[in-house]
Amino acid sequence: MVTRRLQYNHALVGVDHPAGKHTVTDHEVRSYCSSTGDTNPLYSDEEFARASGYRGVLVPPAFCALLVWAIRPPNIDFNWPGKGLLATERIHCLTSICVGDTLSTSIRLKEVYTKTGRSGLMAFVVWSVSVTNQRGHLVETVESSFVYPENNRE
Amino acid sequence: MVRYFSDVEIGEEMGPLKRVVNRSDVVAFSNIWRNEESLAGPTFFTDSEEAQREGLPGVIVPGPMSMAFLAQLLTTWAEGGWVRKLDVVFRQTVPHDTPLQIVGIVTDKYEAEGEGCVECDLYLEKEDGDRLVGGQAILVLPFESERT
Repeated sequence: MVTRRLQYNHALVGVDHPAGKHTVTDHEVRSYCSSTGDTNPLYSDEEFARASGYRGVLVPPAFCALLVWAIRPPNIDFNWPGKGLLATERIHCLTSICVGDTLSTSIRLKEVYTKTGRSGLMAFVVWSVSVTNQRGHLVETVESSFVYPENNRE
Repeated sequence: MVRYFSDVEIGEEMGPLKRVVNRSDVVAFSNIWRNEESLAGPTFFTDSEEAQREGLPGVIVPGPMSMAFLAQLLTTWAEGGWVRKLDVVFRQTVPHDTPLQIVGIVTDKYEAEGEGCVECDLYLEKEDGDRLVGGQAILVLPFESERT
């Protein structure tokens, strides 16, 4: 059996790439909550959110995972087949995000490695995303690793 | 009801939060923030043929949607709580149209840097207990002295 040799652009490891700016809308948060069945009034009722100590309608804690999902990462000249599946995700929420906040994202290739599991050889690509608000404060970090099994996609 | 740090005991269970995710939920979720790639064609989240091409048994629930359910369990269980960290491992793919339950258990509680921290293990599982997604979280809860 010939084992695939991992290839990618090593020069991109640790380099930040601006990944866009987006203002979170009330409609997006409502759609997020309706599609996941979340009826928490913090995410829809401004008066309730303010009475609870927030600046405005709160954005749910895992909302940034959706934001990260929409980012198109830089091309790393990766030689593995398939689109990759999310293997792990780590969210660190540093401060609140409210509807109307403008979020800037920056993505960085953290590492690429292979591992042999029960189903054979797999490659992992790990991305780290920083989310900063309009005040320049880091509000959330999201680290996502994607797994690319070698065997089942060619 | 607000849950205070002093209310919590190690070993306390959370949930279950029950969900069945169908294709229209996934389409609605995926369309919140469409990027050029998602506009370009079908994905294995909503298209069976595309899922099979990728070696999957069928269409699957997006990872960020499973994360939303785990976070939702925390914020439902602890109104007034702040999800500080959420680390998730996607052990298996999550299929559409399958009864799911999201459950958790408190594994530790402590005070750190003036905050009341509660650590939890979380699972998204099928009704038979087959765990598809697992996670760990740190939740910050208000102190009794902050009661208004």
